[in-house]
Amino acid sequence: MKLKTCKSLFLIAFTPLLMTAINAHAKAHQSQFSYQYSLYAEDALATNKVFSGNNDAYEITTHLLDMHLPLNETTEGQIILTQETRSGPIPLYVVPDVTLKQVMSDASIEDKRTDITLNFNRKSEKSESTLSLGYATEDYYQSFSGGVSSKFHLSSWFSLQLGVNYSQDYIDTLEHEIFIDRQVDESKKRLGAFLGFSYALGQTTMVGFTSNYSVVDGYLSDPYKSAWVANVVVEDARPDSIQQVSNNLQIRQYIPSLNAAVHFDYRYFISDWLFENSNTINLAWHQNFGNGWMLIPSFRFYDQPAAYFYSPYYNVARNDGYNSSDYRLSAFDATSAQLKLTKKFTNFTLSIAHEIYEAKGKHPGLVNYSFSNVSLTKTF
Amino acid sequence: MKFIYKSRYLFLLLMSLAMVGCTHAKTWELEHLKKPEMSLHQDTLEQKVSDHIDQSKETATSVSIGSSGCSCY
Repeated sequence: MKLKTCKSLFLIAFTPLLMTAINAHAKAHQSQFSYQYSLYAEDALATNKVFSGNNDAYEITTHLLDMHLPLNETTEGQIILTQETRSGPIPLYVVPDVTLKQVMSDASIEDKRTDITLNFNRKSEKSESTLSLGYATEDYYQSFSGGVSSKFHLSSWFSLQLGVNYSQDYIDTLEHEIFIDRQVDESKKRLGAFLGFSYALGQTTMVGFTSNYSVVDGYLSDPYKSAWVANVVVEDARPDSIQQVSNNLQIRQYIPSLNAAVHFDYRYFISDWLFENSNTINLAWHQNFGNGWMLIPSFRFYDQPAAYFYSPYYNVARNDGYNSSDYRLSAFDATSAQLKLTKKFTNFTLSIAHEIYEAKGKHPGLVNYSFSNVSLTKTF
Repeated sequence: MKFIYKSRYLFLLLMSLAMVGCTHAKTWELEHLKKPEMSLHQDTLEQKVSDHIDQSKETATSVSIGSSGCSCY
């Protein structure tokens, strides 16, 4: 039943790719080249939260290239190449001391991740479609992905969008000194679909709603994590399937007198791993200053409940055999604030942004981080 | 499975709105709505990397095409 539904969605989403080939009123694409450099830097954990191990800060630097190349009047090819370099220790498990304390790895992970995505985008007056193929590789990990999505402009003020996507990931045996006796040769696959619409409520107000569904099967444990179970350190063990639904509401309000736009985004997330639902709110103010200058302050609030099998440590093993003390499965709130400045010149756009993120919860390994980036986009 | 049943109502709501959209065509000036800052999806490079970070630090994720998995520790 699930496969039949997905096949139908795939056909509906793929049809505009064929239809736009014979559309006589196609929109023209432009060549575009973009580069972005970004730095993600975690704050080191407070020393009173660390039981043992290396407490250096964890960092990721990212170089990203994005090229749009017109193939004909209706179609463009897009290549997105991302390279991440990660360095720093990783949190392993939590021990019950006087308070909860995090055990970090003694050694530092040095890893590179390369991700290439190829998109074929087609536009017509009535629809837009994308066929996407992706491949990512890093030490001990490979991921293949693909998807198709379409947007139908049913009128000048109402659009419907839908899509399906799939990914297959492979995790190899870890040969790092941290995991000297950990043998992993596993895989997982994800199937997802989304359906949504956008609707103009007036000349200055736009509303959108999208519902995403995904199911992931396979090895979903984290091979880099362990758990303290009845005084013994054991490997992280999670269920081998997860279903997730994400419902997203988006509202855009333009204010002509201020030459500004307000963004409100709300996400309601449901997962069969979580005790309750998770909420995310994004607020942003896009202020134009003339001569191509724009300032965008934004604020984000996120909360999540704990996974039903999560515990910082276990006095006795669970009957179902699951255990995970990963902070990402604990209950916590997070707030972040970002300031972004963009300047549009005749043929290129320069953008710089800085974000600070702070997480609050009972887990000692919850991280605060900053994220900075600068990007340049050239249009030909 | 209960969230799948909840999603049925969301789907019905979505379809109802789609049908409303097919019956009341109007010709508003779309000048403001076409501005980049009014886009529902800020398809920027920064957003792509930022989403990837959020997905590696939080449980809640949204499915999108062109996103590969990672061993994000």
